[in-house]
Amino acid sequence: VGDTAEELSDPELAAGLAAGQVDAIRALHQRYGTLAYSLAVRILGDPGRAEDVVQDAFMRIWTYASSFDPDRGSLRSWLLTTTRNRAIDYLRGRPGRERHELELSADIPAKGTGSDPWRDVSEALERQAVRQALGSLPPDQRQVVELAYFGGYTQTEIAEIVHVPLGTVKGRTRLALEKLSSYLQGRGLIDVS
Amino acid sequence: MSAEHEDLENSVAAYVVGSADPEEEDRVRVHLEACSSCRELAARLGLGISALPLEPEPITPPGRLEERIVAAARGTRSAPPQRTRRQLVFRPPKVRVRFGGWRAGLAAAAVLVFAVGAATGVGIDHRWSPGGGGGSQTSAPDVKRYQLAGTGPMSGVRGSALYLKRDRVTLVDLKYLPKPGENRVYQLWLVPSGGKPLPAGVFTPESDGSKVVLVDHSLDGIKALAVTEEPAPYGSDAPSQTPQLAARIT
Repeated sequence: VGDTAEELSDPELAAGLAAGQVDAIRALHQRYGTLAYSLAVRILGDPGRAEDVVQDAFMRIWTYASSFDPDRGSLRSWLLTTTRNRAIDYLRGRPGRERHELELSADIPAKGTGSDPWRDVSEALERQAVRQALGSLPPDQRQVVELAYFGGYTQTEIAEIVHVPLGTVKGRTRLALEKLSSYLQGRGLIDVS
Repeated sequence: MSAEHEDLENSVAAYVVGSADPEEEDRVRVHLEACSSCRELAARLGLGISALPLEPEPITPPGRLEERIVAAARGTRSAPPQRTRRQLVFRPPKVRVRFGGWRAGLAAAAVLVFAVGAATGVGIDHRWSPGGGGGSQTSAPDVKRYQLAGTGPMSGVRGSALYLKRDRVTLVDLKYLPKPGENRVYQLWLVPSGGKPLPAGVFTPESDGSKVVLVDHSLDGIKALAVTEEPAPYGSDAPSQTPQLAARIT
């Protein structure tokens, strides 16, 4: 991996991880560490616990790198999905569950590699688009998505929190996800090829 | 379309966002394997979910996090091949289980973890047994958890110690331990408020860098738990180096 780690594509980086090259996990952290840590802090609200969660997520990628399949999703999506799931398990006091974190059918492809300025700019644009997409949702739909995704609440728990029937929560969740997908696809952010 | 299909279709969004109740999640997963229209729905809804991790405001992680991750990765990849059980030194822990209620459950859980560990190669060579003064059966039940923090080559180690005060038993759970040097083992120490550190067992990590160690001793009067690397196989009578992994006992 060596000095060229920053220039490697995700599949090449995954190959380095699977081969046990420590430089590869350092490069992975330099590439996506801020995204993973920001997500963990967003969910947990605790920088210390976020560090533990991010370390666990990176170690999972490190351990299972040989199972990475770029046709199922990007390395970034795998890492962020793992980070989110670990953070929710931590937040809700649940034991780690066997998850299908590699079963990614959709993806926002990472633009650029390493620490080049374009990557920072593209991530800022992505973030802006995602926030606009969330902001375009009616407040009650946005609420159920945020409680589910960032809060880790089940639909039943959300129904209790927002004082509406379970069926209403399910309906709002579906509408919200339909609109989010449509909004992001319309702006070319999601790669559905 | 059947009523069951309609019911499960309404749960696909919850499944995709990861908020289905466990039983519902299992039902949807099974249904998706057989229903192409619901699979298409799940794929479509998943598009939006894939973007959500990008929403949080960026926060630069502390520099030590990268070093923790690298150290943990280095530790697990350089771990020795898993040893056979015959090579392990395993002696049953001296856990008292004659009490009832929650204490029995906790101690049983500790024993179970230890027993599972033994079955998978976890073990500890106890070199030190507790002195007099058995645990009081009338004191308030108490369980405390302490986090171990590492520095240097141990900076990637994750560790916690669960102290069952009534039972005078501490379960130390360690992950991402680097392989100790050749002919070296790790040694756990109890550091009292006054006096020299007490040896509390030697161990080597499993092939994945993990280890569960049971310490059969009260932590009363102990101010810290510490781990050092010492000569194999029996360790030392006193720490030969500054601990790079420790927990403060409060």
